[in-house]
Amino acid sequence: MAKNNNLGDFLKSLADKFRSKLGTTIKINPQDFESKVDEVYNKGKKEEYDTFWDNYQQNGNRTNYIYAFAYGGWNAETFKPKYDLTVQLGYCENMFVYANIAGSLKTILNDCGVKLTFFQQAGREYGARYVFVGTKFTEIPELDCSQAKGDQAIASLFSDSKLIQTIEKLIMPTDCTGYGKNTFYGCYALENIDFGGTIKYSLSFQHCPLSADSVYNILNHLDTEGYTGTRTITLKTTSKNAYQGKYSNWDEKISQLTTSGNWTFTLT
Amino acid sequence: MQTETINTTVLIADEGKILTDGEVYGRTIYLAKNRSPEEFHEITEAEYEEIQKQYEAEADNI
Repeated sequence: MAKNNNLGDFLKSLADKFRSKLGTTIKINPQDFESKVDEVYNKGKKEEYDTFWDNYQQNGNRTNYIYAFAYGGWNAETFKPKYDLTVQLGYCENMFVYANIAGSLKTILNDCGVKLTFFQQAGREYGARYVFVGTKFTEIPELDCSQAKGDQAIASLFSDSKLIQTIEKLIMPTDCTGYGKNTFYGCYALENIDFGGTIKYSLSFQHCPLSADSVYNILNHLDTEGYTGTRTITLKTTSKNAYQGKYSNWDEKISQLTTSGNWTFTLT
Repeated sequence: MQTETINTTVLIADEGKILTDGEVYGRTIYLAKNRSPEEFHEITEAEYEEIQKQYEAEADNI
């Protein structure tokens, strides 16, 4: 800026600078300069945000999110997606593996105004494995895994996520040949979970201090059609006791399910 | 190991033991209609802990 002794020219020059940075042609009075500094700063921050996320999410077209938010560089300050996370099954593995993003994923996504969804590419048969391994999330929003396929459809989906307390709803795969192991392995804080669809294969909640209502949700989403193989639900004894304390029909319910659905139940 | 039936065959591990069929582990097993008690056997808690450590090591290697 050229040095001059004319205050009026100086103020005009400042106003021109503000208009240039803000992309406006409106008149700006000197008494508004202080607020304009904030506007310029915030606009710059927004442009940096847009530049990063437009590129990182390919203007909303990205569908391959393998390791996309993995490890320590991602935390609640940096994880602020601009576009819906529309993730192709099979290309979601380790999406959040050991990320430092603490708190409710449901709240974070709501605050960003975006959703997390999975889809199956036509002709493919991939699952939703390892997506949330070792995360620090406390709450997971509704997850639609109905299109997941294969025999490891939701293997290790939440494995080692020790802080998850609530999974709003897990919509189960409708057309897979197995879930795989360790879906909830190490989920030592998981109390609340609901399901959509039908549970058809073995699941273990051996580490999960499930509430009575969560056990109720599990039992009432178990497939009851004829099944010739072996399938097992593993629960903590404390979870079974919580269910029995509230619903008082454990024996009756288990009797139905071991008979009509050929389910085995294991208490740890 | 004790066995009792409540319209469902229930296996209960003896004190200090864990029941297993090689895949699942527990102190109490409510058997599906198409399974038999002979599929399960008892192991010690120490053996169970060792198996769990192996599983944890495998989980860490994901």
